[in-house]
Amino acid sequence: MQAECDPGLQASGDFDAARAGDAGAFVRLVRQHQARVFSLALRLTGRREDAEELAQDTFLGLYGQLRSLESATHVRHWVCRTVTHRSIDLLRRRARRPQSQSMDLALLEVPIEDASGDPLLHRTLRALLLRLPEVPRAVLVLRFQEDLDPLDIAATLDLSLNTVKSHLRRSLDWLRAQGLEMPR
Amino acid sequence: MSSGDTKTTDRLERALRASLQPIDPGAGFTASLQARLATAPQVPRKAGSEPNFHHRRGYSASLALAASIVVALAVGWQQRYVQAEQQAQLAQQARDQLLLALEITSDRLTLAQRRIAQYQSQEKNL
Repeated sequence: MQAECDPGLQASGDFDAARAGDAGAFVRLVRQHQARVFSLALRLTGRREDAEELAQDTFLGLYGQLRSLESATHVRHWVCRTVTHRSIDLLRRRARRPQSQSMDLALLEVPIEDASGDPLLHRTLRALLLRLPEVPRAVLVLRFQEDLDPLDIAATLDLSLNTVKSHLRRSLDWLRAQGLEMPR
Repeated sequence: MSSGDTKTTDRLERALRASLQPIDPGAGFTASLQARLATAPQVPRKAGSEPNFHHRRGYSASLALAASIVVALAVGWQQRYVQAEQQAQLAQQARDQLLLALEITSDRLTLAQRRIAQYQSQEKNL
């Protein structure tokens, strides 16, 4: 099963050309995926410099793995899976070094395209997200940033479907219990 | 879940989707990646398939070796099992023969005792 992170972003021609060694096509492939890969890392790690480094490492890994990938869809699945696992690994390493747990508050101020939204609510939601443990946080980000269904999230995180559903339900319950003012 | 809870969840999910829209890291990101790629090894072309091929061949050889070891162990175990079975059968036969011989000896002794007793009673009567 291949996860559809963001359908319609990538032409398979770029994938084929990049696979054949066309550097320009590889850069176009990176541009098609860089927002999702960087955002996944940013929402999971909470630090811009970590997110940039993880995203770049992911694309360097992709460059080395292109020949083993079968399709453009496979690329989308591969980058989502790789950056998510690398981010979780980084969070776990960071948890063993408590002095390095500070998060980038600038992340909370990231502007969103939805001008009609409530900036305070969005800022609060992003801050609350960073208070979740790494796996439930990854489940929520994959669900609501990448719009993956629970089955694809389970495949991406190597979890059972029931575990994913349980993380989703409990995280949403927890967020609801924070007394957020939701727009009607 | 009540309809009120459902509405709250829908609003929460909408808010989460709006809050978590992907953010582009900016043009500097691609430029920096290109600089790193310039120093990275090239995407392997034709030669790139060889390690996979060798890897597959190595994998097949390992599988064949593992299968041979399993077969050899199974054959060895089978032989030992057959030998043990044969030894057990021989031991059982020897036990049966011994018991039969003891039974025959016991019957003969009983017969001899009876005859002696008969002979002794005949002598007394005389």
